[in-house]
Amino acid sequence: MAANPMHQFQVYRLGPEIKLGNVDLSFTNASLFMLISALSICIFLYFGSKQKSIIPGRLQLIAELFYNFIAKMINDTAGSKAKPYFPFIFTLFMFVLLCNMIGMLPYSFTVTSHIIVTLVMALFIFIAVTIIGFFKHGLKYLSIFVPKGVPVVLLPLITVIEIISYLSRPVSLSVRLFANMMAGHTMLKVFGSFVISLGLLGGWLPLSFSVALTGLEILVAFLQAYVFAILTCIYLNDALNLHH
Amino acid sequence: MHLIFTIKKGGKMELEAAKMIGAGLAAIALAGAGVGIGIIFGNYLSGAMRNPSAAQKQFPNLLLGFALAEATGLFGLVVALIILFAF
Amino acid sequence: MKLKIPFVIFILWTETNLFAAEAGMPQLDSKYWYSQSFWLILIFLVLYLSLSKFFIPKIKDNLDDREKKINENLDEAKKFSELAERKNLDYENEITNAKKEVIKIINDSKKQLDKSINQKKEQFEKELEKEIKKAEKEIFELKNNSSDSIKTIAEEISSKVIQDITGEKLNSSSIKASVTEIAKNKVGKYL
Repeated sequence: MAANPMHQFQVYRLGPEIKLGNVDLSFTNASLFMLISALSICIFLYFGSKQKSIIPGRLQLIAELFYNFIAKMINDTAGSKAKPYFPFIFTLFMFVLLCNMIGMLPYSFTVTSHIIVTLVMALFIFIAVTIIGFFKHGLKYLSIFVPKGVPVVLLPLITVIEIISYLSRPVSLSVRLFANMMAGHTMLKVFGSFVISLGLLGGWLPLSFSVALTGLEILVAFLQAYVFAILTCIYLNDALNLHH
Repeated sequence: MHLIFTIKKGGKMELEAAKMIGAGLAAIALAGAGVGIGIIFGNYLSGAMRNPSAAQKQFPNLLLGFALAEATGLFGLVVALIILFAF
Repeated sequence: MKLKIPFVIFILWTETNLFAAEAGMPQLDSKYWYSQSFWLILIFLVLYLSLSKFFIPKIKDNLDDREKKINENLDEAKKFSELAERKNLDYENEITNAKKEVIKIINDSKKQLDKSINQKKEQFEKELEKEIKKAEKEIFELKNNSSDSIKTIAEEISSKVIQDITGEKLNSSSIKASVTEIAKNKVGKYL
């Protein structure tokens, strides 16, 4: 049971069963960890912005570091037009980052290792970006499917490819995060079970490997949050600045 | 061992065995991701050696390329896992 | 060899145990999909609202405040440095002015000194010339007087010498004539 690497992704109900008609909306361990990460973001930012000192303390420095990091990222990739979307991207980045990082703690649950969670986020971003694009440019937004400088002969083919790549955005965005988190945690679990099964004599090798993998996974957790946010910025850039 | 028994049983391949083979084949996709990540980091390093002053500016692009290349391999892994567990 | 057999058994045990229990990916189990997406949307929405309403403006205020204060301080520092520069310039100007004045004073006093020295010099030279002229006059008079007196002395001596030798009294006018003749030839050399 414990050796099953997939067992860590099991979702189970906590507390009473909540049903809305036929739909099960019970509070699960996944919801609990979402809540924990959201609360830790709030606590972190609360203590990070509490003192208004000129020379920042540790938490304040980190909070401002994150703020400047995201602000610079948005400005670099999507330009100054994307400034109103800063709170959303900041929230998205912090939420994904904290979910990934809290998932790295032993006995915890990784929210982002569930396809449905990442898919909801990616679909929301995809739909929002499409709406923003149509809202800003009207039907001209469809010209995103027709790249400039392509020979007329190739145009139908390219347009079809562009449409497919546009539609596959939410899939790739969600599957990237989900697959990274799931693969990493599965790998960690497999190596952890090797440590137990090899015992005191041979277990040291997978143990040291597992330590190295944990470091890699922390890097991946940060990297995937960053990539998720920066891809959102890039999609937003496509919608805000047509063919620049 | 399980695999060997199933193939021998009736001369026909059973679903379980086919799933295992399919999952293994799908995991080959990770080779491509490995090559891609190697190319990205190698080219980044050679570029950074030629012009170290521009290296810092391209670091976010490196991470982005790394994540994009790794994702394609992980799609293969997901396919393998889906074959193994979903059906 | 002893170690190898349990090793292989362990690996086989884990391999068989690995995917045995409750096979399948929990991610693809649709039982809790609605619950997860519902809670995700709810929590994310609350998080977004609280961040965009409370925390992000606070951080932004902090950053803006800091930037403002730093800019203010920089401006103040710039003002002070400008003031110091101006003061420094004034000081230098004063120093150069004082130097100029000193040079002027020195030059003036030099000129005055030169003037007075020259005046005194001229006066002195004039007086000197006067004295020299006076002395020359005196010398000239003396010369004339002395030649006359020499002549008379020479007449007397010669008349006396002739008287002593010859015992006769010569005509004083003839002696006088000869003495002046000789004096014309010889005494002019010595006087």
